Amino acid sequence: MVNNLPLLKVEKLKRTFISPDGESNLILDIPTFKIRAGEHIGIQGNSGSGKTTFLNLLAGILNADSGSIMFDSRELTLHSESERDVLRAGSIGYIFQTFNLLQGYTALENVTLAMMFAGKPDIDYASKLLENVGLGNRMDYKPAQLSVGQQQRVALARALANRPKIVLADEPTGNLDYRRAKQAVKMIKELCIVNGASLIFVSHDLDVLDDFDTVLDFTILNRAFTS
Amino acid sequence: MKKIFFIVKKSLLQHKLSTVITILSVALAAALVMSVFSIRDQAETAFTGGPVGFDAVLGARGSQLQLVLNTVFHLETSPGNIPWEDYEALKENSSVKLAVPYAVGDNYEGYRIVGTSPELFEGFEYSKGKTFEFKSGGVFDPEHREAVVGSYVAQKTGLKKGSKFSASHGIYLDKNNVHDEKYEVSGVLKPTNSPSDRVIWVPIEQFYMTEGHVLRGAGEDYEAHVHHHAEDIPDQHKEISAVMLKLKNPASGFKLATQYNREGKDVTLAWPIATVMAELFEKIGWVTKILTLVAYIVIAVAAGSILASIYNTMNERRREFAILRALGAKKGTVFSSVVLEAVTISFIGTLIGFIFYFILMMFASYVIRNQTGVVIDILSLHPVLIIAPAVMIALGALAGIIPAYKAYKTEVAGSLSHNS
Repeated sequence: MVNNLPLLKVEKLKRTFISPDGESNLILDIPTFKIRAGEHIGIQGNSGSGKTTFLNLLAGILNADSGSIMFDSRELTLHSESERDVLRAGSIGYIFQTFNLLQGYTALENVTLAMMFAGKPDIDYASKLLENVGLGNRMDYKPAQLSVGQQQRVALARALANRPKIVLADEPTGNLDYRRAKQAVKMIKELCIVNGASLIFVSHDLDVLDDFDTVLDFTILNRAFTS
Repeated sequence: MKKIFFIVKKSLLQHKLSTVITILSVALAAALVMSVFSIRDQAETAFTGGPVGFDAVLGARGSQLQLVLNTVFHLETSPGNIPWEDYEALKENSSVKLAVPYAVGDNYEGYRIVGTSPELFEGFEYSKGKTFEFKSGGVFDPEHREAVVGSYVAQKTGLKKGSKFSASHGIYLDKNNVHDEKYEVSGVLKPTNSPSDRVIWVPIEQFYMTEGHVLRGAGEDYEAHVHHHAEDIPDQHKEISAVMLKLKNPASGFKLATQYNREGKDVTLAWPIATVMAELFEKIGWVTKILTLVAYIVIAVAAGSILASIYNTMNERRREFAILRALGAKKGTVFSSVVLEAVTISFIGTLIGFIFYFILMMFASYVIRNQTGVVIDILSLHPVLIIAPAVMIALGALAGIIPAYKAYKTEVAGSLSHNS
């Protein structure tokens, strides 16, 4: 169910990085971007185009130099780091390209730990999520004991653990072949629909974004890249 | 807080080997420190503050410390002999409550044989209000070659009531220098947990009437073994190693010390015994200082090992901290988890340290009892048993702060190593 009101709205968002030789490089300049509650948007962009930086800004992991990120009626750029941590834990699910699972933790522990940060650990729900992604019999496995595809599904379950309002998926299919990538996209989309979460799915591969109604070209969205 | 404990638990399990090694180093440090302080203080109390049964000792001119060690603790060699008449004079002295003669010079399997009088078993209190009690048998008869055996000696040598044994000459075991005369055990004492447990007591007259024992009380050699009855030995030939004294009051000690410790006298009065023993600890004070210093260094090394073990994992864990942050962990959560990890290592280490402490104390207690007869109470409560663990845990927390700060400053986005 897509709501017409934007869940996330970005305006004049800029971010620079200081290069090792001290030079200031503008790597992100997004004039405007928005996503409605329940909407799924695919973003295609080449490597090094600033897609991850963009997602990190939306997740509150990075600070913007200027501009506005309005998320769920709250201006993220005005929040302290600690407030952004709380918001991220409770309302934003993040799937990383390399999954970033905690190696010393089992699949179930990876999911429940994410819940703990949001203050609502629920082992039953974490188990259900893992069952939903087909890992009901692998809950006690550590990441190193799982295949790449299984690790990705743990990362998906973890991203959905706190019933987030939005899921940010950063090249989650980058390490999969085309067939598995398509299956993964389908699963992520379906679970986001079930959970009522918006989805921003970033990929360098346009083919895996076939199923998205809206696909944005990041090289156009990011003026810093085009200029 | 639950999440912090969960992170700490997982981290400790993830780095099992370094965790176990660090915990063991903390345990050893805590045990060593607790043992050093506990043994030092208990030994000092046992030697200086514990009731030794006598208030003063009169012996040959020389070191008061040697005199006390020789007679009260049955250590060291005798500084020499004094005439029997000194004992007789003290027995009649109005300041003296009890005077007991001591003569040393023989041993049985390395345990000292002390010639004395039966009064020792009646008036002597080895601990406040406690006199010797017999596990079997009773006091020797001065007319017979009998012996009363201390509990430790009985346990180690197997001597029991009715056993017969021959003494070796000298205070150290020499199997080639055994006297022909045989003593018969008249009684075995109950344990007193004092140096007396390591002694065999015999009638002083029988001690004199042993072949090879030459009395020089009258200035010339006199062999008493030719007699068959104690009363036949002329008093002027008798000599003793010391007279053990119980005084009527503290003022008596002062009076006697003034009387006997004057220049020109051939005797020395060691009084008060606790003060004399305190001199020993003053003399060996540098040893305890070095031990204390070593203990402090060991603590510092243990704290350093906590710091090193956690700090060394920081590079591999940077990504882990970044993931935790990306999942919504606050900086403070990450910081606290590292500090708590260090505290947990110190805490578990200290707990295990108590096990090591008791093992060390049992060993030390065994050695000290074997060597001196003094019993160390391994269950005795000493302030160091609270202070050392508290310091260890505080130092652990302190050691955790540096790596915790590094974790706190983890740059999340960079550490997650993205490609675009």
